Amino acid sequence: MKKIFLFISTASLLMLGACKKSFLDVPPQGDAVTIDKFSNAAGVQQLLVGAYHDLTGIDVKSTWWGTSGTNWVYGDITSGDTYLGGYATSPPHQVSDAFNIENYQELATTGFLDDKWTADYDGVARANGVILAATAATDMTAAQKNEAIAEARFLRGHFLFDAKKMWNNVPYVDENTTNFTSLANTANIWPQIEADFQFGYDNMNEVQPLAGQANKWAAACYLAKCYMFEQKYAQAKALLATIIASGKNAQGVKYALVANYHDNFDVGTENNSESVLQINFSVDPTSLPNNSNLGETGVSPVGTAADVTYGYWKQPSFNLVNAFQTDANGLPLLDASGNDLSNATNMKNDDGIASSTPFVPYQGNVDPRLDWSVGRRGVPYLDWGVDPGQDWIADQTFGGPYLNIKNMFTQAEEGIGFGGIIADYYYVGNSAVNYNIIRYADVLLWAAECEVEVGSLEQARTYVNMVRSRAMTSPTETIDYSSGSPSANYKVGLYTTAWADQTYARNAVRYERRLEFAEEGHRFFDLVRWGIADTYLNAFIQTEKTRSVGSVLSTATFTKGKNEYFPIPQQEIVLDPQLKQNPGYN
Amino acid sequence: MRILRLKFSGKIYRSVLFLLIPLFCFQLANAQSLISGTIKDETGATVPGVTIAVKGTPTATVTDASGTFTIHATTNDILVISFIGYQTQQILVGNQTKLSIALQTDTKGLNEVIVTGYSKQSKRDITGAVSTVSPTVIEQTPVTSIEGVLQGRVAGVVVDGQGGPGNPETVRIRGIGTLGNNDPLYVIDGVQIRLGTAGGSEDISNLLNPNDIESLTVLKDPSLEAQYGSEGSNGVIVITTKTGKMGPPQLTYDGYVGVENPRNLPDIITPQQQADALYASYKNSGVAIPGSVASFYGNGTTPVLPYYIIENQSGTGNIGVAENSPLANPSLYNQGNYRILKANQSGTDWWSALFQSALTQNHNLNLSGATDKSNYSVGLGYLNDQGTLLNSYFERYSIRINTAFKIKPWLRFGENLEASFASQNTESRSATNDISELYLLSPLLPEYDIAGNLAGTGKALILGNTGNPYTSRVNSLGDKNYSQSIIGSIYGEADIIKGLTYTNQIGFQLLPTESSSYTPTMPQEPIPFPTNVFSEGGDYSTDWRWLNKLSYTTTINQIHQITAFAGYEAEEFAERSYGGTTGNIGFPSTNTEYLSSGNTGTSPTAYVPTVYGSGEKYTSVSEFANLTYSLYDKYLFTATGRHDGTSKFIATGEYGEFGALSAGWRISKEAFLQNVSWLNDLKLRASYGTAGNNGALATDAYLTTLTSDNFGNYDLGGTNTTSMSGYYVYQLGNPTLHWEDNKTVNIGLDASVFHNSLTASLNWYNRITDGLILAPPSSGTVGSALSPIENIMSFTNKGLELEISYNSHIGDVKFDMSGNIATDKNNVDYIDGLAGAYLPGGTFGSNGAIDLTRSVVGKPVSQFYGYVYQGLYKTPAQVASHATEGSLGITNANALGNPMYEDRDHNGVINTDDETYLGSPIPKFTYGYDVNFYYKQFDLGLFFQGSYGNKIYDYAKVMQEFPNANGTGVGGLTTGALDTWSPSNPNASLPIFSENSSAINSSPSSYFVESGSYLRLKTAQLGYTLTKLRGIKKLRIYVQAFNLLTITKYTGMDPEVNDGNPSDLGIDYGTAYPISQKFLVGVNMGL
Repeated sequence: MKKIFLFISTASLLMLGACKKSFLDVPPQGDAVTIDKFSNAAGVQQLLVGAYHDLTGIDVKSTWWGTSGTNWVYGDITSGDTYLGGYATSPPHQVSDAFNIENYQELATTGFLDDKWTADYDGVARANGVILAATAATDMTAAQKNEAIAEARFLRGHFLFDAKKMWNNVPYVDENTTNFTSLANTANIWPQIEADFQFGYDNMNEVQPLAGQANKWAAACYLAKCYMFEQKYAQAKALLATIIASGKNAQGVKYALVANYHDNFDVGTENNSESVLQINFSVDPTSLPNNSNLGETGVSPVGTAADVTYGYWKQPSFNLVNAFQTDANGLPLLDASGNDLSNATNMKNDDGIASSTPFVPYQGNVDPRLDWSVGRRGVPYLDWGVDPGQDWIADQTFGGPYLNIKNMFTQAEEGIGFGGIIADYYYVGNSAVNYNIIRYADVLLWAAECEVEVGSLEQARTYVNMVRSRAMTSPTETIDYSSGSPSANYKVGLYTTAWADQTYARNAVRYERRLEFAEEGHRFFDLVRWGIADTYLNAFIQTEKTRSVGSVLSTATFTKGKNEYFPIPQQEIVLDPQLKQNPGYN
Repeated sequence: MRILRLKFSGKIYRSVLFLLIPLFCFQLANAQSLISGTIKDETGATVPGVTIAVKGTPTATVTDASGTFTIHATTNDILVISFIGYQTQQILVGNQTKLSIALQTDTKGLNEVIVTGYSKQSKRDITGAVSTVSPTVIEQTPVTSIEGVLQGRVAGVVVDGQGGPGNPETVRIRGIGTLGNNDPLYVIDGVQIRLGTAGGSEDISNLLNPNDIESLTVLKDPSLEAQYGSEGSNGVIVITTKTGKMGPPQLTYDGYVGVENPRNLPDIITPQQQADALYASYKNSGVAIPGSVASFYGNGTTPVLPYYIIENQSGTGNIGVAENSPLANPSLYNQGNYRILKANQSGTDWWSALFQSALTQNHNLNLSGATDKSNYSVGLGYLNDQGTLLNSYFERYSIRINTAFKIKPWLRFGENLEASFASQNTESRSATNDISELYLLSPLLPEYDIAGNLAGTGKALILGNTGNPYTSRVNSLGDKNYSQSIIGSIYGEADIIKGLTYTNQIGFQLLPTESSSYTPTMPQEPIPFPTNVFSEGGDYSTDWRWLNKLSYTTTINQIHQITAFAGYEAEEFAERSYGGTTGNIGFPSTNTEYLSSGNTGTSPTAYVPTVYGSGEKYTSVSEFANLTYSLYDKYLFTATGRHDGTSKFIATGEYGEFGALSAGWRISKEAFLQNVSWLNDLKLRASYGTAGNNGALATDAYLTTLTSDNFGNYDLGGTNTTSMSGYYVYQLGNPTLHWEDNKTVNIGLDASVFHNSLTASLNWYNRITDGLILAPPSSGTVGSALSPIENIMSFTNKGLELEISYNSHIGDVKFDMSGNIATDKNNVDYIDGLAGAYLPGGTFGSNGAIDLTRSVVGKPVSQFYGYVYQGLYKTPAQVASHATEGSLGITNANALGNPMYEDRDHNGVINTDDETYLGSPIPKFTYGYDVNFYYKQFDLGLFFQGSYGNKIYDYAKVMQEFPNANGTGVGGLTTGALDTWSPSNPNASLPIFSENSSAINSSPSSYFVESGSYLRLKTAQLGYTLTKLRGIKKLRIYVQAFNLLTITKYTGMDPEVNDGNPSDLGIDYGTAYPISQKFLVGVNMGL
């Protein structure tokens, strides 16, 4: 008997030893999805969708505003076109980062900047994941792989471009990068960004199965945008001419301006002939809130009338609204040299006037794009009713009397689920309205810039008039939503005579960009690439300080050679000592 | 029988006698005679108050003042002589009628057998640092969990209670060893306990009824921890449960009922004072009062409290109106979007609404007994702890069955099994909970609206930051959280040759948990759900562990004592969690709330049901061996080795070796000390060993994992109302990960003097942890994926521990006392460059974006970090001369009454460069002191416990002292907040009310740092033992009070603030339960 036990014990010990190796070989369980499962057609597609998602800017670590794919914090409130707006609590803690950015007081430790950096490089990482998976896939044809890799490189180009324009000195990361703690940011990465777009232009399909996908012409447009930022006007001019001649959107429709300017900002008319690349937001239960325009949460006055008091950030500036004034010919208020006179006086507004006090809006001529860009008292705010002024504004002394409008859905659209209050109090204004990263009007006005710099002023005038012509024929706010007389004296005209000189032409083109793309997140980056950010913005600050919102900009001053680019986030320098801080921030 | 008895004598007699007790029980009782006797102690003095009982009968008596007694007994009776601090003696009456008995000092403390898990050792032979909690303490401490048993009893063991029924308490042995998992390993009846990792981790207090504990040993030392190898580095708590003792069946009942009263509830100011404070705050900051606030308070220059509050969901938000306002016409009332509430101008006492006196009760029945062939112990326990927080409770039923059988003289089988069923509803301590939200709830809000529906905070922020926690507690009434467990082991032991024993044990754990909750749409809350929602889910974990062990013991020539064991162990842990949600239930009630009962409906009340599931599984194998050698009972050596493998790691990290060496020298056995009569035992010992920790590490940390959710989905089709699923990298893997590696040196001294009445144990240790497992802060250049988990830090903990106990008597008042004190000095030795210069922890500020603590090389872990508060600007001269604080929004114009911070770099500007280390959450020492007095049938016990030298960061002050806390427009200001600076109150203790939140309540500073030292009278107990009761062997009744007295300078609710997260150490987030005083009446009864 005892011997039996001795035997059992010995056998048990031996048995344990024998099965030891395989016993410890436990595969991951449950929903642990590991990278090795994605090297196939289906996996590549899933990763590609994930990479596209990052166009929204909303990743796991995002802070909504700080990472918004629409760049309103970095491109609008810094540009003289927009105030941060909102409440005057000095400043509200949760938006102090945005407040500091508005005043050019951001620091390397400003949290939004590290979030933005992370969001851009997350996009890069997701694109790189697609490239690696597609390269290793065995069930895809060479053509399929090529298309997937080209789309991924296009997206990588987008995110690197975004980082480049924010910080200028940024590290290059591709699918072969493994050591992230010793990447330098001293080399100029424009060549690598160009290469990604060139690869996309050469390899992507012209027509794509899905409306939200980018195609080869989107890559061409983005390549042209690179040239614009590098002041490579000759190369840009040639490429833009090709795009204007042959470019098509991802459905194969030839690029053209849409008849109604507002169609660029409406849920019902997305991915149209003017769309080059849009962020395709959606309001659907499975991806709420993170595939809606979460980055502009609270930015629009939305929902029912009661919710209006929650949407108050990103308010258009006096300066911007004044720029929409036109003369008797419907032309901007430029003098003979092309100098901007529009801010000599402040356009009539309801600043400081209670909603209960009668108010007649400005009766002078304005460009009709004003009321598709800005909500102002006395004018219908889409179909939400006539803007009552102060009642819809959190605090006029902090953000002025105007409301943002371009990312706003209509009340009717909310009714069918394109926006509204979903899931959480703070997500008021989940919007499915797409944001245009590039639209065809960009292409035309870049082409106009190129003509001014290295080509024909007359051709430039032609391009600008194409854009103005659409503004002339677009329906105006009043016609869409109210039966009464026009809310304003809309007057926009073409430049009918040749431009006097290059300076005037340059100013006219730049002015047109400001009007056409107001509140679309581009303005600050345009000012920087034109090299006029310091003079323009310091002048803006001086003017604006005399107005009722002046105290908000009390600490604002733009330092040449510093504020053109944002500081490299301190956290990144701590973790990667190879990164050099941008000039002026040390 | 007689023959058998006569064969034994002397010492052997006493021990064998015990085995024979049941045999005597069957003997016929003989005629009684009167026995008398005298009892003396070891010095020859007579001892009064000694209990003399006739075994197995209710007959008992005590010695009188002269130490004499008389008692009736028969010749076959056994007298049991017991007296605290002395050995209990059993004496067969036989033919004696006059007895003279000498008490012998109880040396049980030394001869006590320590269960170290894989083996047992006599305490006097142990060469490592080990502490035990005596069975008396366990029996007399009516706590609901074993953490409660440990608190303050063991040097070097720190327990932080969270408060709240059934909430786990944190147990830390010898300080913070890692920034990851610091929980000790529990070993119950030889089986390592797995508390689960994924969805529903179990709490040890759910699994084990403390009443079933027979012995509790804390292994603090590497020479012992090394036996558990990769699991041992946080210390090991070895528990054995009750087994039957030789004798007839014994039935015991232990129970108590009591009441718990919340104390120290905050004293909130009136609604008018609160509105005034808010207005002052705007005014002082030169900020216009926001329109919604101004109209709520009457649009005047001073706030006028509204008579009615209208919550208009689709209209203008919350507005305040006067009594006669047509807007308050009850006919307008609509719960969905037009609620009318009568403002409570005198103020609702929300704290009293949420915290009330609560009943607690605990009942335990135990039946046990043993023969020479078998023993058994069957326990039944019931605990019901109604928490002081509204609708909170913890209820547990438990059954324990332990049996053992001797099949052959050389073959034994047995099992230990506990099944428990626990249910609870509680608030745990997290960053925010219903308690912290209470600070942000306006006292102007009534409990109910005019229609009798629960009041919510409505749509505007002015009544509360988020929802109404009272509503949330009321709605949680039906929420269920069940934890069930079956844990135990079955074993067989065979003596193969003399001294050699083979053990085969299978340990098993089944731990299902289940929870469900129903959430109504709650239109009165800021975030009404479009539909009602019901969720239900569970988690099921299983763990088996197979142990094979050979142990050998022998003594050679009475000189060499050798004990050795070696074994092999394999384990598999598996866990699955699952659940789902449904919504839009048409007729919610407890009968219809099933996952199948949702109605998906149509827009806008459509609800898309969801399901989820996940799983984990890991395995481990281990080989281990241990050798103990004792030479002349004077020189002691122990060696331990263990080789562990786990599926959690791959490549080189998969296996780890751990080991220990220790030695002891019993100096008291040396010739030169033989004549020192007062010295009973003196032992010097030293040990060195290694152990590991892989704590709460996920099973697939070596793999890069992806996920698909709304951070990956994208509307690539351009539909606006659907999106395609996309995947993204969630966490990067690290294939080179390995165990945290712990190396400890321990030097100790054990002494026993004065007839063993005074014993002391001193330990010094140096504990080094290398390769701490942690996910470092991630580089944004990698993207948003979580960083791979790395072996990234090193720590040192050094400390001294002293435990002393003493027992004696003064006249017939006997007493025993024991105290312990321990220091632990933590130091961060190394941080990998991957993590940057420091590791941040804690959160501060309304969006939690500011780090409150830093772990940096050269300092203890998790030091508070921020500005140095220097008081308030009281004069313009101070403003002019002090460094400017522009970065905090303090300008020369508005500085008066605002905080001054130290300009540490003397550059005239306050900025982040002026932040510094503000103190340590780690105590300089912790201590416990226990004293018990016995007089006749009375006993009185007092137990003190505390900590010294630690700091607490009182985050709750943000909500208690500043209006508009967290930018909400409200703050449940406490009355202390009224002492705020103003020109007319220049010597105020608090800064000026200001909207400039970055000036103080968003800037971490020493303003919030307070002393966390405390001394607490944890328990006081008075008992009375009744004797001479027919049919009852023992009956003791007692009353006990908890938390009668706390001496502390800390101004928060309770200085026990730690929730177990090492990077949140010492931060009081305002989420703590108010301390409660508990009063119990209890009974210990034996039949």
